[in-house]
Amino acid sequence: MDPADFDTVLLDPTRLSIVSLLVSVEWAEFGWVRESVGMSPSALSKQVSTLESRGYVEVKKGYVGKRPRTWLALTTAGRAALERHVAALRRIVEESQRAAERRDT
Amino acid sequence: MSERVTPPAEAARALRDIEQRRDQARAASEQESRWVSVVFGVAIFAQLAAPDFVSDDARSWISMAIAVLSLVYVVMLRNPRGGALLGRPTRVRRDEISPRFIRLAQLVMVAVAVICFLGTRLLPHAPFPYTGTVVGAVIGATLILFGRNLQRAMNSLAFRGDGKGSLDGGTYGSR
Repeated sequence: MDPADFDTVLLDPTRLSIVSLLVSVEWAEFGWVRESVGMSPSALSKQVSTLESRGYVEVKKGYVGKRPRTWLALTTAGRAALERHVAALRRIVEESQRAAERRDT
Repeated sequence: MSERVTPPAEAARALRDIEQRRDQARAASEQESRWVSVVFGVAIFAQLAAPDFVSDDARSWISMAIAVLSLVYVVMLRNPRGGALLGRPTRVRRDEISPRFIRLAQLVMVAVAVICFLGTRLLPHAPFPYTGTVVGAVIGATLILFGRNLQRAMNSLAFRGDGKGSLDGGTYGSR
């Protein structure tokens, strides 16, 4: 397996979880993502900043009434990175399954 | 823990985690503030009960108000601020929804519109008094009380399991 197939940013399980949460949605509230991954706001902010600096996640800030809100969205680059990462993970699993089948026969 | 995790096992675990997170995000689309179901339940009741109580002029105003309400709801659904006001933390991407479900939903919406149109025309001539009020109360109460369950049932039909998405594939290991 070529290590270059993996996205180094997504090798971190927390960042992978954040990107996986965002891949099926157009946007998600920061608070909901924080609850879903079970992190503190500061810890999530740090991970989101890393993803944002790589262009994987877009952060929008605004107000609902007088309350500030933050929304996260996966960019096209982030989606493509996750697709490549998933394909690399699948190849590992499939190669392992084929190797196991060869051993059994 | 001294258990050694082999790379294939770790990869399978990562794939399962990705799927679980996607399911979690899809399930979040069921979240909505209770007041939304209440408003729509009351609106449906008002629409169907109107012929029993108010004049034709007032009925057309009620119909207009419901159309505007539906339009505002759709606009709110499509942007994050509106979604937040509705109590929705996320909005599911359209390509996550099965094309078959979209076609079915469009047919159902047309059917409901036709039934509502015919219903408001035929209800004043119904054989029993206050038929519209009773039907409106039943439909409105169902929406208010079971709206979340109906949404969950629709979601289970809506999300594509056809494996055509670039992230869709086999399931690895036990779930």
